[in-house]
Amino acid sequence: MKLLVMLAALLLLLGADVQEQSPEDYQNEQLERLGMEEVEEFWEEISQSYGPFLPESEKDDVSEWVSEHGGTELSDWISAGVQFFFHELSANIQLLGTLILLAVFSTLLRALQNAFEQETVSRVAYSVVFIVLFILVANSFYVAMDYARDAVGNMVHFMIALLPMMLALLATTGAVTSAALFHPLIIFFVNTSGLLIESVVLPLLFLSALLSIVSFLNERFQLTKLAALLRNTAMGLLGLFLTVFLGVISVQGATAAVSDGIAVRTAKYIAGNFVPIVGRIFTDAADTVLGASMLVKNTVGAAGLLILFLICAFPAIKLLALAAVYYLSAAVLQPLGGGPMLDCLSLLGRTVLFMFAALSVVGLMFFLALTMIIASGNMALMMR
Amino acid sequence: MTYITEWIASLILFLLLAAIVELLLPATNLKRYAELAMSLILMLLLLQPVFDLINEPLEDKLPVIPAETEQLNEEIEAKKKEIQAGHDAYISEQMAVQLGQDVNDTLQAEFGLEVRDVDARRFESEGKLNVVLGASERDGPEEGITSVSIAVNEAHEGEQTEVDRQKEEVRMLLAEAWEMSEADLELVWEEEPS
Repeated sequence: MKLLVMLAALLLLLGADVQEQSPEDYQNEQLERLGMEEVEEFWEEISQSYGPFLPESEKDDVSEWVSEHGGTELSDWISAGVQFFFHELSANIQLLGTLILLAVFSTLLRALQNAFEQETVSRVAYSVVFIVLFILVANSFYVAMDYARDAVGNMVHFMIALLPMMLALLATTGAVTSAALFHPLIIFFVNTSGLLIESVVLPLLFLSALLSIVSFLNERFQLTKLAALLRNTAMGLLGLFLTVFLGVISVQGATAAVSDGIAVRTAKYIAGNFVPIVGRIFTDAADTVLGASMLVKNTVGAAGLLILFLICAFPAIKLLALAAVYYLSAAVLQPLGGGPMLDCLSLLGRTVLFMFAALSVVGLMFFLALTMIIASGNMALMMR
Repeated sequence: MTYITEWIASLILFLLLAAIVELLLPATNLKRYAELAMSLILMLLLLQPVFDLINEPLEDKLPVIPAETEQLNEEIEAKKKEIQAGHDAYISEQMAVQLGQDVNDTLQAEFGLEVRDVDARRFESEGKLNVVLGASERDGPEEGITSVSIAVNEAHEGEQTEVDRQKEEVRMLLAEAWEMSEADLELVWEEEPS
């Protein structure tokens, strides 16, 4: 981008013929004028928290990064993800150690059971160990849920910040119908999905996990069915919402774009034919503007997609690492003999995976919504 | 959601208490009845939401989805206006350059004028074009330059009509060159034709 600006400046200095300004020049002009402060803010936040893991994080400008898109290779991203995963894994290794220690302790107590005359004594000891485990695990579990909630909240805020710019650009590229249609729909879905996941699905998963753990504590009073009900409700809500969202967005996007394309074409036809010379010049200039706007929209959209992906990816990897720790400790503890502790750990691993699923579903929905906005504008321009 | 959280929290608390009580109870015949009583209490706790539902209408407890659309609407409008203004400025600028190319030579030779600016904002909807004309900065015809400074209020009747006639001529020239009707051209004079 800088190169282009410099090139344009050079042309001006040389007194070259600048009257045929290309769409690219106008695009840069427009990008600078629009100001991507809202987007840059999120970018700074990301590079502050995950800076060391980002490939080529020395680029502190989103648009710069996006315009040199070929610079970052897929393998860089994958290695960054793997690096972050292992970083999180090692951060959680303390939890793994504590879990193993507790499990060994409780197995030893079981072995000592025969030494006591009464069975109740060892059962009390076992209960105490289990409650310690419960508190420990609930704590780390709550932290995991907070990650997921924060990530979802961040994504919603980001979408709310980005949408006005995207929709305005969409409207000015001639896709008036798409913009008008997308607007209430997408805003409704973005708001609702954030609220739904943040304050219904994730807490339900958390509560269901807590209920299951407590149910392991005694055989007489169990609430595993209630826990299953809560979990199924959460996952069902998630699936239902995703289905509705995908269906509505895809159908609306396609039909609106087609009617936009026809509208833009007729406008061009009228202006071009009734007033010959001026009309032609006007249409040419308007065309340049449309093309440049589309390029700006695509650039902003690509930057938005990248940031959205980053906002979602790092917490998701964090959750995956936590689930891996739970599963790993379950696997390590198996030789000590089965029992509620093992079931408890694998259940926690599964619930963290469910949280991961909820987070990725939100990410996917927002990703698709953005792509749909970008693509529908291009489609309307292509229909002319 | 807070309601459900509180309910589940009370359930979990009861389960923990029940576990402790079960450990405390001596293993006698009566233990079975104590456990039965606790089971019944647990069931009542589980049914708590149902009772609440019967007693109170649900409407007050449903969460309200916050509507931020109003503010967002304004934001989109503002952004759109900003972008649109940029577009209009760009289109007008391009048109001024291109249209001026067609007529500037003739205009300068005959009247010592040039096209300064074109406002195309009303072109698409009404077909009207605002054209700002001013004295040419290039070397005009020799006799034209000095008389530009004539102020209108000082001019005599005869000169006034002369100026009007020249304006009409410029209008006709532009309309012919651009193949537009004269009525659609709105000329703005930065300086009077000489």
